[in-house]
Amino acid sequence: MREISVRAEKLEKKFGDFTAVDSVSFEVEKGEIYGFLGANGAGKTTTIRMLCGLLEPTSGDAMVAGYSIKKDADAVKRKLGYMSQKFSLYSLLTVEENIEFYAGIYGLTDAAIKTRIPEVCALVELEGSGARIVGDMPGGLKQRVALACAIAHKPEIVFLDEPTAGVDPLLRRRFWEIIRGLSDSGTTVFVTTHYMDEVEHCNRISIMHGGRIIKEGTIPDIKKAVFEKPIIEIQTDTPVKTYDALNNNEELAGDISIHGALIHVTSGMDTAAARGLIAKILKEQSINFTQPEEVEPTMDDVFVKLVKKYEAKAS
Amino acid sequence: MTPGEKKLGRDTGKLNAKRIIPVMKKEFLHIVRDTRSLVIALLAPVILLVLYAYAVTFDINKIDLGVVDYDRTFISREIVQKFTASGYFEVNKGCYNSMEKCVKTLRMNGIKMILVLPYNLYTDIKKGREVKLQVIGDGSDSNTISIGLGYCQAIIAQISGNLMLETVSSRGFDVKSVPMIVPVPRVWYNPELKSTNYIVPGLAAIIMMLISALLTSLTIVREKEHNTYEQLVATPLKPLELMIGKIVPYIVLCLIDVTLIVSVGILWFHVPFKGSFIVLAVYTLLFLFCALGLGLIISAVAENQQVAVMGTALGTLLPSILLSGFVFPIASMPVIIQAISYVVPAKYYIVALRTIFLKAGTGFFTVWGEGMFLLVFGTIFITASARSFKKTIG
Repeated sequence: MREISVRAEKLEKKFGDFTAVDSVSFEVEKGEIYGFLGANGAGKTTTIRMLCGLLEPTSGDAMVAGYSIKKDADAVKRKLGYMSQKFSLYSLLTVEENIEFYAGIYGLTDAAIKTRIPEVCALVELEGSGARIVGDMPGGLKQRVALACAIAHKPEIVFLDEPTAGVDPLLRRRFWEIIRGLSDSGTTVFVTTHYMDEVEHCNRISIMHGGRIIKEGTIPDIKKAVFEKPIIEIQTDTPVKTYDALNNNEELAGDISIHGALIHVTSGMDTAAARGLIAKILKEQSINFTQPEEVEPTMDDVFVKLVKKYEAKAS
Repeated sequence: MTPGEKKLGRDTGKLNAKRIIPVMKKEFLHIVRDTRSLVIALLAPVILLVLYAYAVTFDINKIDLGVVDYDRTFISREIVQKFTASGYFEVNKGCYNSMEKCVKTLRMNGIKMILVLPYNLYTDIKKGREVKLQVIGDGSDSNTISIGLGYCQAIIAQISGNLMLETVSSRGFDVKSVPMIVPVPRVWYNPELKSTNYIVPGLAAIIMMLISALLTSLTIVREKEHNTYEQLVATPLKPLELMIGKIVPYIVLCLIDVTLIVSVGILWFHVPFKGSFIVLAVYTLLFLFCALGLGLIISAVAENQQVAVMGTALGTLLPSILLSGFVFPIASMPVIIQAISYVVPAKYYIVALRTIFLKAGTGFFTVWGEGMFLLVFGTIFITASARSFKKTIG
């Protein structure tokens, strides 16, 4: 049976005239890793703050762990773990003292805290670091301490707001493995990020733009829905020139994006014909390039295309 | 509503010691580990007390005096001698006997007063006529001058009295048969009228007001600056629980401060301590409750440490110095200002401290009125600040 952890219904937040979150609805299943993907200012943090009872919604409501965030914010707060954007830890306390503090204000007994500290330390792979002063630790480890604090009271749902911002890639990968482990043990994980590659770790995602969810679903489904035709990839040493050349061709009528030295093209034309046309255009402009190849769309591609489409519709 | 929900709903209204204790513990650890701040918190009050206790004194002596002696007889010289012998005046030699130089020196702040002894002083006295001594004072320093004039009058009245008695006895009367009324002043609690005896307790109150409000306002604002505040709002911790948990460790720290200040006052400045240390402790707790509450109100409004420091300095220091009765008597202020002075916690603590320090035989109820005011205002401050702390951010 499907069990719902979070259900948002037309959640909306206005700051004066500015609508930060615009009538957002979605559901998160228990034990799922649910990602919010979007640029800075898309409304991810505002949404997560409303779900955690930190901000009151202007209209709409959400049920979190069975309680309404509007009517029962206190009950909601008891059920969730929250890790804010900058890991907010007490830098003069040790790892264990930080965990003990958070576990304590969630009402765990001293005995429960004693057994829980080694447990969470093991979960976030911080065994043996319990007595270290948090302020002296590197960012990647602080992030894990913050996670340990957020899950010390065994919450049903953990909200992680940009948990990997500013953490090096290797530690980010380890962090996601820890998150996966949490989700496997039945904890619902709600995470926001602006790293496109990271959402591949999520079961389902929402793509946010301008305060709205512009796409929701599993990653393969979203990719399939956004790119009916495969992507053609060309490598070049003059990406901007290549971009202009292809973008101005009316026959190709392609969607073109630059990814470093790579150019991605999607076209309504038949794939083989499109590849031939691209080669022809670039040769005419005497641009150096590799043979056009078909590639799987990345989340970057998906995001760029969706936002473009959304902006075009809006204007 | 399920029974479970009901229980949770009821639970939310109550304070829970289980949540307060971790906050207290965390705060204690932070205070102890932040060595630099701890040293400042402990040393600052003592340093401030020592500095200001020396600076703030109302005992005026050695007033610079210009003398113009037109008479130049032994009597005129004897009068000048009486002035210098009193210890309150010092004759400026540079402008002695020149009215022009005296006026110039007065203008340039070299002297504060000029004493003019007229021609024929000696002959007029001998002939039994009234003699007028001119005394000029520098009104731009009216405080010193009014005290100086008082000394002048006392000295001249003594000289005049002696002359009268001499005259009476030279005419064959028995001096003892002349009727006179003589006041016999006794100053209780501070017989030598040493100003340190009442300045030090006053300063102690003002310094503790500043330090305690500053420490509390900084502790909350720091949570805001380090983003931990947002994290706390996401937990079931209630604002009042946070306040109490944060205040208790600072009460302990401030009690240590008070102990240090009082010890310095007694041992270094030799302020007599006639009251009871237990009564002192009780009123100190009441005062800290109130002062820390004021600090919390400031921190509820301030977004960063600079604003908190400015706010505390303006909000506590100035009112505590000006409106507490520390130097300026409240009774002589306009009614509106007197009304405002009621919300200055230092006012009550100063009265309590001076009483406990200087008056023997005081008990718990000697200054109970002050205690009640502290209790009431403390409660108002704490509840007001807990209310102003939103359970949401933004």
